[in-house]
Amino acid sequence: MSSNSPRPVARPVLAVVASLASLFGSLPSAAKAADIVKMDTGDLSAELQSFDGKGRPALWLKLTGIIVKGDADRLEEVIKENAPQGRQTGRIRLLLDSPGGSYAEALKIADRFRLTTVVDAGATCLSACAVLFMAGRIEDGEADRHMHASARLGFHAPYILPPEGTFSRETLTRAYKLGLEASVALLERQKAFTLTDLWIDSMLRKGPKEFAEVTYVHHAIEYAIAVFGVRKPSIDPRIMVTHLCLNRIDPYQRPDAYDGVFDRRGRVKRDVAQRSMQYVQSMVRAVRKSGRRYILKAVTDEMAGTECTAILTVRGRSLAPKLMPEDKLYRGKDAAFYLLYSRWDSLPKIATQAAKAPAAGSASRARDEPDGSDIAKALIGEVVKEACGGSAGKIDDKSIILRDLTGDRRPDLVINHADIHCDREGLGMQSDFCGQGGSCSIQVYVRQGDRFKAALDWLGGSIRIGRGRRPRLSLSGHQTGRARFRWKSGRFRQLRR
Amino acid sequence: MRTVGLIAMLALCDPVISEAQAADIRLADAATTGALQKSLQRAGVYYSADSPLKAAIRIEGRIVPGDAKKLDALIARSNLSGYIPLLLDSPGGSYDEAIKIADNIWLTPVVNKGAECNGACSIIFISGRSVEGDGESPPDRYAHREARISFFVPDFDFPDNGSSKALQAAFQNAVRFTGFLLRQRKKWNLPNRFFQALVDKSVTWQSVAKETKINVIE
Repeated sequence: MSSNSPRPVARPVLAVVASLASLFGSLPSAAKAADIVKMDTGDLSAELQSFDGKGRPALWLKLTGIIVKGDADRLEEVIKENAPQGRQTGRIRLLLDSPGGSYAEALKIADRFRLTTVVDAGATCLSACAVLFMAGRIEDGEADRHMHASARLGFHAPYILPPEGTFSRETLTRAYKLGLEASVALLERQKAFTLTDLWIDSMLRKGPKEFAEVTYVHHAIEYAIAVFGVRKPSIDPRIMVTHLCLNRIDPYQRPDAYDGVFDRRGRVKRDVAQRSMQYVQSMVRAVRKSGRRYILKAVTDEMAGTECTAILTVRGRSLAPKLMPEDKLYRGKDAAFYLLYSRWDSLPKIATQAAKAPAAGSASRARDEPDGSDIAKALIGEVVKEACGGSAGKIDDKSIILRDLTGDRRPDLVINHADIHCDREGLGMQSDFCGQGGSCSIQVYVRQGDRFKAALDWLGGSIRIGRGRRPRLSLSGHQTGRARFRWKSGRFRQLRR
Repeated sequence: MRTVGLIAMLALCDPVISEAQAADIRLADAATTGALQKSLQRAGVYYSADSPLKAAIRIEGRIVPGDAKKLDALIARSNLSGYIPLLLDSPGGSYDEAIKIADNIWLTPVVNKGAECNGACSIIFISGRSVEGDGESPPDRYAHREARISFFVPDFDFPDNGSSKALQAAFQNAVRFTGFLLRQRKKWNLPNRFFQALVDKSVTWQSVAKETKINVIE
């Protein structure tokens, strides 16, 4: 420690410390650069294709693997190759699937290009990748970043991984200053990238081995991330309107606000769940139905003058949402609204394969599998998983009906969400397909070839199945009334009274 | 709780300072208090003949662990309450001690003509706010036009050499320290420019005084 003791300075590291670019991230220096390729529109899922709308199709690129120094240049080359007129040619949409890499390089890419960033179904985007993701924007102050509900998005603070060795006081001091610069770099870009204080705070709190993940609806709202791949929940429209309003309003203003909502294991605390349920129920009661519209005007003491007017218009079979004033943060079109419908305490993870049967035995003909019980079992597992937002759960056998409803002599499947019990506490115990009013979804899947296909989704109450080859389904719910259906010409048709 | 965590984190960054270098914390003498009252009056703080500025506390020298307690003891001993200025003249020192002081401060920080206030001291300075009944806390801090204040982190008295773990920790502590300041942003009224002053020596306190709501006294 004395000043005249020899200072074994690791020289290469000093050089490393001198440059921000090579310091951040967790890479061995030999790490392979990320792959950046152009995507053909035909290869994109229908959901992604719908991003383009009617305008000029965007240039879709995909970045996979670890982000390393030089990737900004490589990205520029790929853009030049595929869009000769450079950045001016329409939008560039970048699909991300990366465990992270160089923080400085991610910022470099973010600064150089104005991209729409997307993390697609099943993809992962962590660490430096997540920083690049957050830079997705149309213009300064207007975010344009989208994650699929089944994607994994995780943030943490930048860090350094120096090689083993002994470092001088000068280097230690420099590392401290670099740490300040790395975090201030985010603040400098806060406006341009629309980074919320909450996001910066959450990411700076997480060390190298942990992540702040986007798991709940309010995370996505707080971080201004549009979520797609979220199925419109089959719940009472009144509940939808209530959630739409509650999610629209700063989640921190909610009576069940955040701090202390979750226990150590990330579950919703029982008393909070109770309070929240009462609150939502009181809001639900305030929803007014006017003709085919559902209107909620919420001005409450807790929300100190916050007003939310949401209108759901029934158009044919679908509900067209309209929230006023429109929330400019969300550009994910309907997907974002579906997100806003969702319950605040979980991001409804969509099971993309929900209606698919396992691949095994797919070549065999249907009549070789008389009951299809394996396929049904797999589907039930998927449905329960989806209903519990990825947590484990159980379903009572009495809520599963395997019976032919379509007259093809192969059993179809009815699942009542009322008897799904998730391995979560409080409110979370029931399926995400249940509303707080106690109404749960009844889903009917019909057998088609080697798989089941969702055919009917009904909110609440009970189901009674009549007799015959194509039996009549009588469904009832205390909020949705009664209806009868029968399978005809490839779908369930509602029978007149 | 939050502060305790931060203190543990920042421990590595604390300078190694001997007791002899510790800050001198005491009541300002009558002449200093009188002159200060005049300066503050010029800046709009109201004093009448009936209720003059009775006392002021001054901290001189490097801030070291234990100074927060010393300050508390002095306040208790002198039976002080109300509007009490805290005269700062310090080259910096322990960040965690500065945060301890800053977290509980109800004194009004003042950096006088010719005095300096760098690094850790600037944290105490910037935390100055008048705490009012309803929880509102508008910034309340005063600096003479010719005061030398630097938010830029001064060279720490790091050990002569450290392992790669120490190097990592130095980086991480800085990140967390920024996070801590960010959380105080609203409470202490810290604009983005203030954060630039942390990393850029050329950003002077005078250039951010207006946005940071530092009252400049003559």
